[in-house]
This record gives sequence, C-alpha cells and structure tokens, in this order.
Amino acid sequence: MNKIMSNKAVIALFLVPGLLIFAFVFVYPILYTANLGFTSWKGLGPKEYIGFENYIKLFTSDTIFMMSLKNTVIILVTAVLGQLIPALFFALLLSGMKKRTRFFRVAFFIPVLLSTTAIALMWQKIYDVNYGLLNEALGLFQLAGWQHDWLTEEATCLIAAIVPVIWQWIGYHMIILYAGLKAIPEQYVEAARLDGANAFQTTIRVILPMLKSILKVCVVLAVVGSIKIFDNIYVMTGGGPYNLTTTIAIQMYKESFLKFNYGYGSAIAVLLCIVCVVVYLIINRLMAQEDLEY
Amino acid sequence: MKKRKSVVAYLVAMCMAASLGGCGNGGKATESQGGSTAAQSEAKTSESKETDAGAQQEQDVELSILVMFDPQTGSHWKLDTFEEAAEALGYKVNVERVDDETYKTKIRVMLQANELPDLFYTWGGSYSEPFIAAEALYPLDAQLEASGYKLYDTYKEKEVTYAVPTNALETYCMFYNKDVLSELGLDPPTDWDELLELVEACNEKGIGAIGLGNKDRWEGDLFYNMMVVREDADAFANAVQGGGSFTDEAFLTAAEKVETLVSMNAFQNGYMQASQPECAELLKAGKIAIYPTGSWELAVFEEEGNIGCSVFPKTGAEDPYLSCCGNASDAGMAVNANSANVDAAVMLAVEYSKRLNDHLVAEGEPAYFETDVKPNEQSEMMSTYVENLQKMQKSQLWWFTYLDTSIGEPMRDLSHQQFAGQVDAQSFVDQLQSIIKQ
Repeated sequence: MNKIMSNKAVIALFLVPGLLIFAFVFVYPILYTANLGFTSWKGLGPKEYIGFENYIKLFTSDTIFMMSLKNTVIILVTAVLGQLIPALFFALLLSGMKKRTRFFRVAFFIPVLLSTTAIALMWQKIYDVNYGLLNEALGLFQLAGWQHDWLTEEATCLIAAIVPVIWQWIGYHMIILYAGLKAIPEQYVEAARLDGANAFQTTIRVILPMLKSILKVCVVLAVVGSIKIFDNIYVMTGGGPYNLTTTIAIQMYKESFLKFNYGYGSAIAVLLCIVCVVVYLIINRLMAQEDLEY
Repeated sequence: MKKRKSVVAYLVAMCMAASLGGCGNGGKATESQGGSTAAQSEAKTSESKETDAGAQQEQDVELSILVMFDPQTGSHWKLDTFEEAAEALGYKVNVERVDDETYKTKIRVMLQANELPDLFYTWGGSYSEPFIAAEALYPLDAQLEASGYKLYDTYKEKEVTYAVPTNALETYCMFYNKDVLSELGLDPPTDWDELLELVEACNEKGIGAIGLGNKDRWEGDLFYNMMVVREDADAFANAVQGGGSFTDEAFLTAAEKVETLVSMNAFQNGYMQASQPECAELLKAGKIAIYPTGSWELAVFEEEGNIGCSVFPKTGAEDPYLSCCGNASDAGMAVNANSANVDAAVMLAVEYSKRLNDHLVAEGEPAYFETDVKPNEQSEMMSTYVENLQKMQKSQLWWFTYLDTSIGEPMRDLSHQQFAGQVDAQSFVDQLQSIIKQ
C-alpha cells in the first residue's frame, strides 16, 4: 500500500477529480469571463469580438470607471490601515490579559457573524440625516456644526461608507492576530524584558517580527476584501450619490446587470482579477522573509 | 520549496479573485414572501365556474409566478387574485414576491440563465425589449380574444400583446399634507409661483417642502420628466423622433426650475439618500408638505385623512389637467414563451388580469377591462384621482421606460447629479442631448 501511495502517478490520479472540480468551478469561469471581455455581448444574441476595445474605453473615456478605481484605492488604503492597526492593538491588549479574554474575543467577533446587508442597513440608519443616531449624538454634545448628511455630501460619503467595513472586520483580524500572539513562546518576551526592553521595544523588536507571517495573511485578506468590496457599499449608497462611492465591483455589477453590457462588465471583472493578483504579488514581495521558527 | 510555495500562493490569490466571477445576485437580501392568501370564492363569475368544471383535469399543473407587488403599498388583490384565478382554472400556483429593486435585477438574471418563471411582471416599453428579443414572451392576443374579455383600446397599442395589465395607467400626481398646508395658511400649489411660495414658507418653518426619495435615482428622474411635460407635452417626442433636441427651451427651462428648487433647499433633508417609503412616512408625519410621485402611492395614502391628492402644479405653459407623465400601457403580467405549461400560463394570465380588474374596480379604481362591476366604495382621494385622469388627453411615457437601459442608466446618473446640484441647467441639457442622442 505504501509503495502504491508513494507512486507519483497514483497520487496524480487521486488529484484529478479535485483538480477537475477546481478547473470547472474556478478556472473555467475566469477564462470564460476573460473571453467575454473581448466582446460587445449584451447578454443576448451572438458575441461580437471587438479586441481590446473594452479595455481601451475603460482607461480612455469611462470617467465613472476611473472614479471607481480611485474610490477603490482610497477604500483599500483606509480600510486596510483602519482594520489592521486597531486589530493589532486590541490583540496585543488581549494577549496581555490573563483573565476574562473570552468576553472581549466574542464581543469583537460579533460584527463578523452579522449579515453584511444588516450591518449596511444599520449604519444607513445611524447616518440618517433626519433621525440618525450620529447626528443626534453630535447635537446632544453641542456639536451641531459637525452634523452632516453623511451619505450624501461629497466630502463625507466615501469615508462614511468605509467606516462600517472597518467596524465589521476589526474583530476578524483581531482574532487571527490574537491566535498568532498566543503561539509566540513566552520565553522570547521574557528574555527581551530581562535584557531591559520596555513594552514598546518588546512589541516592535520581538513580537511583530515573530508575527510577520500572520500579519501577512491579515494584510492579504484585508487588501483583497477591500479591492472587491461590493455588498455593504451597494446596500448603503447604491454607489451614489452620482457614483461618488462606486467601487470597481459595483461598476462591474452596474454594467453587467443594469445596463446589460456583459462584455464590458466582464472586462472590468478581468481587470479586478488582475489587480487582486498583482496586489497580492506586491504584498508577497514586500513582506517576503524567511519564516522564523520557534 | 520556495517555488512550490509561491505556486500555492498564486492559486490562493486566484481563488480569492475568482469568487468575483460567481458574483451574480447583487448581494442584496431577497425577501421572498411566496404564497398568497385564500381565494375569494364569492368573487367568482359565472364564466369562471364553467371553466372550473372543464379544468379539473389540469389539477397537476403548477405554475411559478414572480412579482414585486407589495400588499403594504398596493392592493392586496394583486397577490390574492393569483390563487383565486388558479383555483378557478384548476391549477396550482407558486407565487414568489420580492421587493421592487431586487425584482428588476432578478428577472433579468433569470432571463440570461433561461430560468424565467411561467408568469412574471414587466414594466413594458424598453424594459420588455430584451425579453421580446430573446423570444421569451408569449403573445396573449389569441387568449384575450378567446376569453371574451374586452381590454380597453389604450392597452392594445402594440401589434402584439405581450402583457396583460395589473392596473389602469398610472400617472404622476401630487400628494399633500392638509394639516401642514393649513398651518402654513396655504392651499396645495397649483402653479410655479405658489410652489416657490410653499418652499419659502416651509423653509421658515424648518420642514421640507417637497418630498423626494432619490436614493435609487428614479424619483428625481420622474420629477424632471414631469417638469418638462409641464413646459411642453410634446417636447420629448419631438426631441427623440422629430427635429427637436434635448437642449430645446422646454428641457432647459425645466432644468433651470429644478436648479432653482435645489438651490432653495426645496427638498427634504437627506433626499438624495431617501427611499420612496421614507418619503411616504415623512408626508404622513407632517415633515414634508407635498410629495409628487406616481399614483401607485394612492393605496398608501388613501386611508390617511390628512393627506390629499391633486395634479402636479402648472409649473410651465401646459394645462396641468390635460397632460401628464405615466407608465407604459403594455406593462403587466407576461408569460414565459419557454414555459413547459405555456397554454395554462396564458390562460391564467388573462383570467388573473380580468379578475384583478374587477376587484380593483369594486374598490373604486379605474378599469382596464370592460366590466359590469360597480364600485362598492370610492375614497375621496381615489375619486379625485379618477376624475383628473378622465380629463387627461396626453400621457408621456416615463423616459427611462422608453429608452434602452444603456442610455437610461447614464441618464439617471446625470439626473442624480442634477438633483445634487452638481451640474448647472445648461450643462445638464447638453449632457442629456449627448447621452440620449449618442
């Protein structure tokens, strides 16, 4: 049996069903979408091939796509920093606690368990200009000058749309980082302290380097999640007002399912895939380092 | 080893990105409220009893129906009548209801996937065109003739009837809060000057003068459509088919008036992110004075003693009683031409439409089929609406319904900018011309 199982041909044979399913579910749709991206297909009738016309239009004359690209980049930077820095901070605090960590772990994780749509609707109500909690609270604290029509005003709509995303995912990253912190052997931290390092130095010089591989996972998840963000923002603003909160994924949806421009929408989907892969590679390169073994 | 790791990493990244490929349902929660209430047997006509006997053999036929009728904001008969008509014909029905915005996406995706239900709703006009192009709609003329039911001529404008109505033509009208107007010492505005007077009075009082639920862009779009009709009822037809242009005076003047209203804060706080139901509640609560919208809101306000209804003010040269914006006469229930039970579906569609007509007429609404049913009751609001509707001579179809969606969507984006005060009147009409005449 062991002899059979060490035969590479047999191993390959066992892998074939899984590989076929993977190819059918993941690879084929991507290739099919890529193919559609070179057509002007409207969802019905024959597919007319137009070469790179869709891609040329995207970057030369589609102002809404360029706006969605800009918004996605803003969301990417804001959401990633907004999620990971607090998540790391809370994870460090929690890992320093000896007791009662369970309550905080559960409390921070609850938003992850909630439906994104429910969260979006809840925040929509919080931001409401007529009866929203946020404006009411500002009024209570004599800060009426800070009250805004949060999801409508040009200056506030995008950041207001990002906040719920950050709020939802902090707990998720915190749990991952907390697990990583708990896996770091205590003696390294103890040794650093014996050498005279304070808490800040210990964190920067000892804990974070040992946490790098976990941080990388969190960065990748947060970045890819931000690039393809769709549901929360679509429910809250529909991409409006006048496309100020439109992301690449929302624009892809609008082109494909509202305007029936399947060819054009597919071109956007392909670009989105490429952006995800490229960003992943950049992160991989920037954070490349031999894993520390402990 | 490192290489292998990076290959795995590539695959992981591809998997993450690939989840986009499967993105198909818009991420919106779908509210499904399948199942209608019990049929109203007393409403059966003698004709249908004959049909009952002959249709027992059809017991096994089960028809799927997808609609967006909301019993909270419209007549409950729109859902209940499916069961009633199906029972009369000896069929079973599986009715699924989703909200309006979800419906628009869902039915299009179902068309692409060739998974249309047996019966479904269409808004008519350009909305039906992809369905007709895909040969997904079954002609209903033969069954209409065989049934002996007589549809009014207005609803048979096209050569082929692909949908049977679910209500009489709906038009734009203006709802107002009587208490608010009374407190302000004003009557419902009847012209542009009175509208501006109302806006100033409401601003002083600290409430919104005009309700607008513009989150989904279409309420602002309809408002501007109506403003143009008030300037010149033929302007749109001339611009599209005649020698006119969307930069003509009617469009520019209407755009300038919208610009004036926006600059005067005529619309309630948060109107760019408000929805239609929110506006309805604001009107009921006296937080806004008037709410111009479609007559489909009649059912929402009919029972409210402090709400009145009248025609949209004469903001331009046209007589407000003679012309109006409205929906398509070919909107209604359509039958999936690829249905396994297409004959049964066709029979059910026609029977449903006629029975619904009778129920609605009994409740005081206008008829679209000839009928002997007399109104049991008619609210003051409905009576005013029907009276005004009867005076109307010209109905302009909503532009979005008329236009292809690839034109209509950018037009609505532009309209959203217009109501946010981001584009001036001249630039608006210039862009409108370039979008529609592209």
